[in-house]
Amino acid sequence: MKTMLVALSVVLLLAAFLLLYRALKGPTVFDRILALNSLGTKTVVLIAALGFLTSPSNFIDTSLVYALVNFVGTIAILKYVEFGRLG
Amino acid sequence: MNVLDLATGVLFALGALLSVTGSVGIVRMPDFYSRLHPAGKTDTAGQFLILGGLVLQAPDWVTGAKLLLIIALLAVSAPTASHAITKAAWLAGLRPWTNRLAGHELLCPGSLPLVPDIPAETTVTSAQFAEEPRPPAEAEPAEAEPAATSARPAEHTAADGDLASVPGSPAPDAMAASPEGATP
Repeated sequence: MKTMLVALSVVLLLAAFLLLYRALKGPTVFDRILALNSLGTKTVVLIAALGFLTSPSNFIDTSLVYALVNFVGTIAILKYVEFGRLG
Repeated sequence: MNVLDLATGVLFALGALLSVTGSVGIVRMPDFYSRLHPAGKTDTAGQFLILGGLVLQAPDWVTGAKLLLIIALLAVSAPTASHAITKAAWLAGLRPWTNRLAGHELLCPGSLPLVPDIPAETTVTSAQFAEEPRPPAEAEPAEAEPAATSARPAEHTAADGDLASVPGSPAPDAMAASPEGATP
């Protein structure tokens, strides 16, 4: 079980680094936003998987809050890009 | 290794495969709208599989319920975010990468042409350009030469010859035309 979680975390980190390459290189700003949104989803799964190595019930709350913040942050960045302000 | 661990391993393997293929697709796809395809689908399916595998290993029911809550939240929010990104990119003027020679106006009617079409009346061939009557300000800059003055109308050459005959005063239209003829 522990080795499965470690292998899953390594694979998720590899996927996250590929997304980070697209977020740094992306030609348009929407490529960066898309890569950051996928990176946030990967981070939610990674926090939940790494939390199961030590104490599962403590890290689930962090993962839940990160899922909410990721969605709201993506919408906020899109609104700022589209309208030039957040109000 | 019991059945739950085996099911968890299978779900982890499928989810990790989906995550890596989605990331490779985001890196290697040629266009923003084609990158949406691996990003939107593999995120939702990958988190569904991996967190579903974690639910099977939950120590108590509260942790399992929170994991199910995360699954439900991401299953709603990830497609919504992809849709919002797509709509924002379309409203910002980004258009899909298409092959213009394959008739992309038939495939996607709202798309702008990649290279703007030049109207037929503005295209000028060299024969039309030679026959066009041009205004005298844009006459050829080599009008001081006798070959250019001979092509003019008769009264114009006569006035030009009268003014040129006066010593020390050059032709006034030659003075007016020479800086503008030199600038283009």
